[in-house]
Amino acid sequence: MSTHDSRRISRKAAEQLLGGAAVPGAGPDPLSRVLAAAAAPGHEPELAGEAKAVAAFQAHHLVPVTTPRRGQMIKSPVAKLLTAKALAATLAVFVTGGVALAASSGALSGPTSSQRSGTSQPTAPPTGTATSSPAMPTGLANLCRSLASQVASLPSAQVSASIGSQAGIEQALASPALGQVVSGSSYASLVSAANVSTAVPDYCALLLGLPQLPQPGDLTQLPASILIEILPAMQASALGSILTSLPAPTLAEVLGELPPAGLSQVLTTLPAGTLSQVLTTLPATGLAQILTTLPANALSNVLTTLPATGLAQVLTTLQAGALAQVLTALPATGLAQVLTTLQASALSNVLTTLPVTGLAQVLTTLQAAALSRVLTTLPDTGLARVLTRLPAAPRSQVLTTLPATGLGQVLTTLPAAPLAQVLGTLPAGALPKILGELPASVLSQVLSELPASLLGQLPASLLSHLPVG
Amino acid sequence: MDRPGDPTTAALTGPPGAASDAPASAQLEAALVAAQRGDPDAFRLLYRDTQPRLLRYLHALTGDDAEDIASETWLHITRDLHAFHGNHDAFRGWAATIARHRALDHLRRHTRRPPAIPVPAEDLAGLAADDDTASTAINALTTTAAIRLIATLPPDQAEAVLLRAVLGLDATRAAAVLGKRPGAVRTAAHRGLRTLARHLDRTPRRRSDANAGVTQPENLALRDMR
Repeated sequence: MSTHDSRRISRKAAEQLLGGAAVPGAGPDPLSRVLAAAAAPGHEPELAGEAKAVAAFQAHHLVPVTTPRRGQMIKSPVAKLLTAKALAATLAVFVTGGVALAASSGALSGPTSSQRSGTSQPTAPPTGTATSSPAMPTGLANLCRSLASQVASLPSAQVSASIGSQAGIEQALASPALGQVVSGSSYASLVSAANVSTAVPDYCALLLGLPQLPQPGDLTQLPASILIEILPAMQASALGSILTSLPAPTLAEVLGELPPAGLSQVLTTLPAGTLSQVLTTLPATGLAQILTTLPANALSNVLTTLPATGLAQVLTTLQAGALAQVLTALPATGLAQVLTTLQASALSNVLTTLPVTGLAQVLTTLQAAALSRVLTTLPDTGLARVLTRLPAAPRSQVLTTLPATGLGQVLTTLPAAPLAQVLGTLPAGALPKILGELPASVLSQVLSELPASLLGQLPASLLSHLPVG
Repeated sequence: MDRPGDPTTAALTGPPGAASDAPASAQLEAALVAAQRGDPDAFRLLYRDTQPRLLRYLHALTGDDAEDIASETWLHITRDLHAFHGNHDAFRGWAATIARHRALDHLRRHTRRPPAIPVPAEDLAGLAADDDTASTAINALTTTAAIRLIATLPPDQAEAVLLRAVLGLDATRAAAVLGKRPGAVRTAAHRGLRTLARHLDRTPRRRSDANAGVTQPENLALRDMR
C-alpha cells in the first residue's frame, strides 16, 4: 500500500517531495518514486543535442559580429570569409579533430575510465568531454607548423622570411611546393580535418591565427558535416558569403541535411537578395526537398521575402508535384502574397503547371480580393487555361467568390469558346447566380458571347439584358 | 532513490534537486560564471544539468516537438547569456521561462494541442511497485512514464509539479516563470501531488492486471495551455 493516502499529504510533506527530499519514514512509496523518476539524472538520448549546442555556443563566442552590442561590422569580404573559416576550422577540430588525432597519435581511445567511474547512469555521456577538446587544436596546429617548416626547407618553396615569423609561415603555406609535402602520411590527419589537401593552407592559417589566408575561397572544401554544424549559428553576412560561394551540389547537400528548425533559421536569416541567389542556385530536386522540409510559417516567410524575379525562378523550377505541395502548404495570406508578387507570365506558368487538384486547392484557398487580383493578372490564354482546367465544383466556388468587378473582368477577358466552356459546365443553378452578380453593362457583354444553348438555360430576367441584334 | 553519490559526477549528470546538493551547486555556480565569459566546457556543464530538465518540461507542454523547442531555447540562451544576471538557480528559472515562452508561441502557431499520451499500465505498474527489487533502477523508460503521468494532470498542476520537482525551482521562482503568485503555485503543485497519489493508488501493482486504465478517471490532459 502507498504511504501517501491521497487525502493525507500534508503541505509540509508536499513541499519536501517537491524539493526532491525523501519524506522521513515514507519509504519507497509510488509517489516519491514517480517524482524521483521524473527528476532522474539525464539519460543519454536527452543529451543528443549537446555537440550541436556547444558548437553553436562556440560559434557565437568566436564571431564578434554576432554580439549585438558591438556595432562594428567586419567589412572586407576576405575578413568575412576569414571569420567564417575560423568558425569552420574550430568546429572542424571540434567535430572531426578527435577522429583525426586518434588516428595519428592514438592518444584518444574512447571514453577514459576516469570519466566513467562513479557515474550513476549506465551510459557514458556523449563524446567531446571537457578534457579532450582543448588538446585537439594544439595537435593540429603543431602539425601545421611542422608542415610549414618542412615546406620552407625545400629550395623550390622560395620562402624568404624566417619560418619563425608569421610571414614565413604564410609564405610556406602559400607555396606551390606545399602540395608534395602535405601528401605525406604524417599529414593525413590534417588533410582529413580540412577535408582535402587544397584546403589545408587556409585551414592552418585559421588554426594558427594568421592574418591572411594563403588561398582564400577554399572554404567550400571543408566537409559538409562541419558546414551543417555551423550554419544555423551564423550571422546573416557571414552566412550569405558562405552559402553563395558553395557549388550547387554542395549547397543542396548542406541545406538538405539540416533539420527543419536549422533550415528555417538559416533561410529566414538571409537578406532577400542572398536568399534569392541561394535558392535559384539549387537544382530542382534539392530545391523541392528543401522547400518541402520547411515548416509552413518558415516557408511562407522565405517565399514572401523573395523578390519577384527570384520567386518566379524558384516556383517555375519546381516540378508539378513539389509545386503543389509547396503552394498548398502555405497559409492563405502567404499564398496570396506569393501569387500576387508574380508577374503575369510567371503566374500563368505556375498555375498551369499545378496539377488540377493542387490548382483547385490553391484558388479556393485565396480570399476574394487576392483571387481577383491573381485571375485578372493572368494573360488571356493563361486565364482560359486555368479556368477550363478547374473541375466544375471548385470553378463554381472560384467564380462565386470573386467580387463583381473581378468577375466582370475575368468573364469579359475570356474569348468566346473558353467562356462557353467555363460557364457551360457549372453545377445546376450556379450560372444564373454568377451572372446575376454582374453589373448590367458587363452582363450584356457576356451574354452576347454565349451560345444559344447556354442562353436557353437562363431566366428571362437575365435574358432581358441580351443586347438587341 | 538512485541519486549520484559522487560529487564529481553530480554536476555532469543533473541530479534531482541539485539545488540542495552543495558541491554540485558550487560547481554549477562556477560554470555559469565561466560560461558567461565564453568557456565552452562550462557551457557544456550547464547544458548537461539543464537540458534533461527542460526537455521533460517541454515534453509535457508540447509533446513530440519538445526537442526542436529545446534547441531554440538553447540558441536563445547562447545569444543572451552574456547579459544574464543572477545565480545558477536564477539561470534555471530564466531557461525555463524562455522554454515556456517558446512552447506557448509554438502552440499558438500550431493550433493543435499535444494529445494526452496514455501511460502504458505496465510502465506505471513498475513505478508503483512496492518491492525494492523493481524500484532501484531508474532508466529512460521510467522517466518517460513519470513525465507522461505528470502531463495527464490539469495544466496548472502539471506545470507547477514539473517546475518544482524537475526543474528544481522553489515556489517563488516557479511562480515567476508562470506569472502567478507563489501561493497559487504551491496550491497547484500540492493538488497535483494528491491527484498523482490517487492515480497511483488505483494503479495495478502487477502486470497481470494490465488492462486497468490509468488515464481514464478524470480524462486529464494538458490540452488547455495558453
